[in-house]
Amino acid sequence: MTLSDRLALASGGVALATVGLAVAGVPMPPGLGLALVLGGFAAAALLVLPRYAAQPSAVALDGTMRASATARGGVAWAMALVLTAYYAATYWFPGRLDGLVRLFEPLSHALRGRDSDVWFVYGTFYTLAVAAMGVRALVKYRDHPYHRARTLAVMAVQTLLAWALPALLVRLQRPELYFSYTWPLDYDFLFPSNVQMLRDHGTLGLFALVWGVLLLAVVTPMLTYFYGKRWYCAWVCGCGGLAETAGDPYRHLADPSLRAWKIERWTIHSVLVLIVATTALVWLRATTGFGGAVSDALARFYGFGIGAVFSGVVGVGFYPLLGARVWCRFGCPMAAILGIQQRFFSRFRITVNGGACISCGNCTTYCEMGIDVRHYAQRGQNIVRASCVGCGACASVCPRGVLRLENGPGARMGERVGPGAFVPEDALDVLT
Amino acid sequence: MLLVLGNGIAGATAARVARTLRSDAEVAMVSDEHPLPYSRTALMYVFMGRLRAQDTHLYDAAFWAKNRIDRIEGRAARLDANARTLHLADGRALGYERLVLATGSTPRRLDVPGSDADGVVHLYGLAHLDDIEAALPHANGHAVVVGGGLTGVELGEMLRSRGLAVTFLVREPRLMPRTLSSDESALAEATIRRHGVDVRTGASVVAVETVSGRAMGVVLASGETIPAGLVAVAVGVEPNVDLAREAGLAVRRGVVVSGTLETSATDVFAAGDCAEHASGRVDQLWYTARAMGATAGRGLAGQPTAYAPGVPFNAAAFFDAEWQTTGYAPGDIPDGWTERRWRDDAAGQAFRLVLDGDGRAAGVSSFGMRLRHAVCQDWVERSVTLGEVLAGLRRARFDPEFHRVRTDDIALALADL
Ligand SMILES: Cc1cc2nc3c(=O)[nH]c(=O)nc-3n(C[C@H](O)[C@H](O)[C@H](O)COP(=O)(O)OP(=O)(O)OC[C@H]3O[C@@H](n4cnc5c(N)ncnc54)[C@H](O)[C@@H]3O)c2cc1C
Ligand code: SF4
Ligand code: SF4
Repeated sequence: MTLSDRLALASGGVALATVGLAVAGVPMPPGLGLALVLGGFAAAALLVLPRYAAQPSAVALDGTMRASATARGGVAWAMALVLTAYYAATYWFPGRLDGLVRLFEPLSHALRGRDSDVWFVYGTFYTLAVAAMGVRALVKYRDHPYHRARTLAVMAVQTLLAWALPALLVRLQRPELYFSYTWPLDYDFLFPSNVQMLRDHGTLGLFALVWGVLLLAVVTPMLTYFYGKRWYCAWVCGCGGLAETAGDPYRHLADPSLRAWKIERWTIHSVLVLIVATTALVWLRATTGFGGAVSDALARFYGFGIGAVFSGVVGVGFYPLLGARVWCRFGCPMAAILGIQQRFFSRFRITVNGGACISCGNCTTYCEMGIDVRHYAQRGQNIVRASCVGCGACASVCPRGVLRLENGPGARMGERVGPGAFVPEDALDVLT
Repeated sequence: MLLVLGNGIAGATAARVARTLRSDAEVAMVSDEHPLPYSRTALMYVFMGRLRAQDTHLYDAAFWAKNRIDRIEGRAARLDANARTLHLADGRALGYERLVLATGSTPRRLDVPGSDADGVVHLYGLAHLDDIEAALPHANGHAVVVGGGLTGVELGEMLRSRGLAVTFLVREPRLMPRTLSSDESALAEATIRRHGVDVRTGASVVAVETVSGRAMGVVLASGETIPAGLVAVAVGVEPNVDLAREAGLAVRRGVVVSGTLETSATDVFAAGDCAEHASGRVDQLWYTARAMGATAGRGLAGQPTAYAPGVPFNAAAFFDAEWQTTGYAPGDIPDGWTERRWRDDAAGQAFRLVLDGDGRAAGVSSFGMRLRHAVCQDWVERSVTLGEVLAGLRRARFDPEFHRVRTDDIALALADL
């Protein structure tokens, strides 16, 4: 371990210890506590920078499969434990976090002009993670302009649209609006209660409502047609933003097996069906008064089972064990919609460069969506997969320059590009 | 039974193609190395901790099972071509209808005193990674890599990733002079140096220094001694031909094959590193092994086809710098031919177009940038003019989005000549 590694561990330790003391109710000046927590975590994320700067290879992956933090070792388990505990407390035992919430009072008052709460703490941690780990990603991918651009984009969206702007709206006594999300990821956005709330808030509320619907019905299909789902999943979305920054060290933990792909297709589309049904039933109840018990139960189940447990506790808590895109891959209904569009109505694909693939497996291993990229690449087939978030990792880890993310016409699943003689045609397939 | 000996890329491809063409037949691969075909080219990434060994498998076990390609583990000891039987060392006898020999090659040893000492390592299979791992603690922080080819470069990268000081000994006056242009050699050397490797060209090793059977360094022809506790040797590979030779097949350096990759024995084909074409050429590349495997697979299925790999190509990486070539673009071009070169040292990029005696495109190579294979291949296939290449250069772009676009610079620079 280098000196900066040790310092990083120490600062992370200080931040965690401060959180622990605060949670335990040990009194401390909020300003100092907050500085220790935020500064400690930021320093922990940024102190690994010298290591990246020292690794000349632009993607700096050496040792990934050996390090305890990234190879499901003790460090990874400990981190997963802390993360899941934090999520569980935020959702179900917010009172336990009172001490931590108090540390954030100065910031909350300065920013929002009101008392701090667990969700403000959560949003701030989230934004800090995206920002600090985003800087780390910028250094790690310094020779990769595509990664730099999308990292800057998610950092900007998270800090401005998903943190500062909502806080500002709260300060101005307006509803807390998140313009980077819409239904069905923001699952109750179209629920009657929320629609009513927005309509009660004058022009701003109406604007938010119209924007949300436009985002889903017009912006999404258009941008996905031209650029693939990546415009949202790797450039805008906060869940994607966290995955691409804080989750970047865990890309290889996604399971690329055929079995996982089969499960994925079932679960992600089930969640989509579930939220569509729930939303429809909630409206049925609101308009006709019919089916109240069912719609209530469904809405509550969705909020708890999908919203909290799946997207939060498992989705983020298990980052160090299952990779950062568990929610995006197996659950997110927005990703399901984008995926269907990408698969059938999009110009986006990953082009394979002739027969140059050496089957090394770097692409498959580092695909955070668990896509078996090599399977296509070694057969000289372009890749058009519903789940591909267009992160570009496969293209940059490939040592032979085989893969290119493209928005070209004529993308077809399985289209062959290789010079026939070098890439043998064969009908053997297990991906169906 | 349609039998394949060896499950490297040549053997695995032959088995797959045979299965595609013959859904009824029994198809099996024999290997003494690993039960699942894996990517040899990825060995370095396993060593560097980027991949686990299982990440290098071409397909998982379920793929081979589902496609009914049997994987037989064992060493083939003897081939009886008359009786159409392959005898394994453990006594099993495998009768076959047709056979593909895809036995690959073995790393060449350094032919100098001390070359069998402890701490002298090679790189060809997974077992070699263990050898290198075992030699690391005795290296005293310094390794030499002997041999200026691509495997040597890979060994340098592997050893650097473990923090060793590495001296890279290249016998030739510049890196890979038969394959790379002088521009590309220079850029490759600069890249390797930038990653902390001490590159010595024109350095030939005359002895490995040993102390009680363990390597302590190497002695150069110049008399200089370079201390190193780990000596990694990458001076080429030799085809595995013993089995074929003992069976009475025609063997020169490799197993001699016809235009349809048939050996001198009836219904026995050979493909990949172990095969030698009638012209005497022995190709030892991943791409050629795969292409030969496909052709031999057709023969294995009873549909012998001429081996016609089309426009040749190759690609490699020197640490993080990629190099690729399509068509015929050797280090030194034949008399009467010309070449157009573009180079940007600061960006670490180069482009080269080789024109034959008639001024027609014969080959392209590039360093530090990615070009679209299909476009380059098209230029060579149609023997287009310089003007046509430059006019269509944009279509050849394959660098990731947002990368600095160089094709216009290249077109402009080369048009001025
Ligand atoms: C470290 C390294 C990096 C490389 N990188 C590249 C690259 O980047 N690009 C490129 O084009 N080429 C590269 N090559 C070369 C390329 O990998 C080889 O040309 C190719 O793998 C040869 O494939 P093959 O199927 O002919 O033989 P092999 O892969 O050698 O397979 C032969 C198999 O047969 C088995 N076998 C042999 N004899 C017997 C027997 N009697 N009984 C049972 N089994 C037997 C062997 O154990 C082996 O598993 C690299 C080679 C190495 C070693
Ligand atoms: S296929 Fe490539 S671009 Fe798509 S998600 Fe996987 S790594 Fe990212
Ligand atoms: S990383 Fe590149 S060379 Fe390796 S398997 Fe994937 S496409 Fe092929």
